[in-house]
Amino acid sequence: MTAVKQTVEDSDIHPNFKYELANILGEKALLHCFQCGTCTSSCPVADDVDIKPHQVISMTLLGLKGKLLQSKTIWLCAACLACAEHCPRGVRSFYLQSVLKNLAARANNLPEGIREEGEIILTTGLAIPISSGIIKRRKKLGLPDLTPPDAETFQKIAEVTGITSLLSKKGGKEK
Amino acid sequence: MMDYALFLGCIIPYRLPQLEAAARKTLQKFDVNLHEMQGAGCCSDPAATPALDYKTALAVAANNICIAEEMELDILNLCNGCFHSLKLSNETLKNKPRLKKQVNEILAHVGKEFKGTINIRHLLEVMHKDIGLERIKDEIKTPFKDLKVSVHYGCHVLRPSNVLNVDDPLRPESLDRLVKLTGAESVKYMRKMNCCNYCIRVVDKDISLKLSAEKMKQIKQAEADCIVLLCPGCFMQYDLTQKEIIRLLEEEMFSIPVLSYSQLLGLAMDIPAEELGLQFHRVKLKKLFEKPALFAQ
Repeated sequence: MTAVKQTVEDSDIHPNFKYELANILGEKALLHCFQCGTCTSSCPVADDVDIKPHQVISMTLLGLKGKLLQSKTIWLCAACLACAEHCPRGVRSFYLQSVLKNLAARANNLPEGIREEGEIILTTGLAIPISSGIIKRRKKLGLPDLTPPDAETFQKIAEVTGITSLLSKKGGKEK
Repeated sequence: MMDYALFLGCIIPYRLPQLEAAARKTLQKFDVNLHEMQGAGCCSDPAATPALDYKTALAVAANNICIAEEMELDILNLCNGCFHSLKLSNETLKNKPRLKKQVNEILAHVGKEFKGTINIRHLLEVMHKDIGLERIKDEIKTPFKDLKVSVHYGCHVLRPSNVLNVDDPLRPESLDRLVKLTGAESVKYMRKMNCCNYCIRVVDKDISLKLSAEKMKQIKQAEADCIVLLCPGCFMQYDLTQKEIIRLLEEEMFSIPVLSYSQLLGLAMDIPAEELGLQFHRVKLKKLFEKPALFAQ
């Protein structure tokens, strides 16, 4: 893959971004990354993303907040945690990407698929709808009847944490 | 007698109940008492809620854990994703008092309180450690013969290993041992530890299937008769969308049946295939049973 030269303006740089993230993560390991690229070499999706996992870290350290939070890369993490397992500096890139996703979702960069998934979980209490065909199949298999979860509990949690507005936002940015 | 609160999650009971049936049928034979968790819902889903908001995800997971705390039982998970969400949340809240306080403030609105009194377990470790290989071996009636299995663990039962602590995160052996107990062979294959990529399906289906195809190619080259796995997410990827995956390989069409470990074990324990729900699989298992001398006589 060829490297693309990009111009970075002074205004793109947020020097305190790395400290903000280390604070949210509750650990300073992020600041100790020496760019060995082990995370990238263990990542199953590294070949298919424009910003590689080790570059996500270097961009974080440089403070390129806007570029990161608007990227699709952070949403393509397969959550396999190979990076977290391999990192010799204990950076655990997976956790960093999770925090970036939380921030990106608030910066209007939320893939529609994830928003939909979150919406159904936090309004019904289940990640998939109940279908009559499956209920029949359960009976055939002699499985016990299920009590669906209390949907109001899940709605209340989302309301208290203040993410209800995030869930109802239609047409989140998706490339 | 071993007693657990059974956490089903969403995909298993509401999409793949055959995996639940097989787990219940096999566990019954080992004197495992399963207690239903009334009111439990989604675990938080490793791919969804934590990506939106970490604290919401912790509260959703903790809400489920509280149900088992009231039952005074450890939770048994059949799904890797649920195990991952619940165990990570349980350990985080047990070890970080500040977060625990914040999450309990959220839970107070729904009349719950996280105490940190139970443990979260996965079927794999309960089979391997609690029930044990010897006990399982005693229940095997008709061992397989000449059955080649490609074992797929699934990421969320292994990593992060410092918290989950189930097996070696890069060279695990527990599921291979359990498969070998049934008389089947666990074949060596490249990319064995690769992710199924189910978690990125909702973001980019093309990339997700393409990456699965690379693994499927290796499974075929290893001449495996079937794939044996644990997680319903991986099952969805390899069974429900196997046709789409194989189409990407630009090879002649082929198919490889997918079974959960409980289903494989159930067959060797002489539990009828219909009771294990094998008829509900997208990739038909007919070919597997037609293979001569599959079972030792």
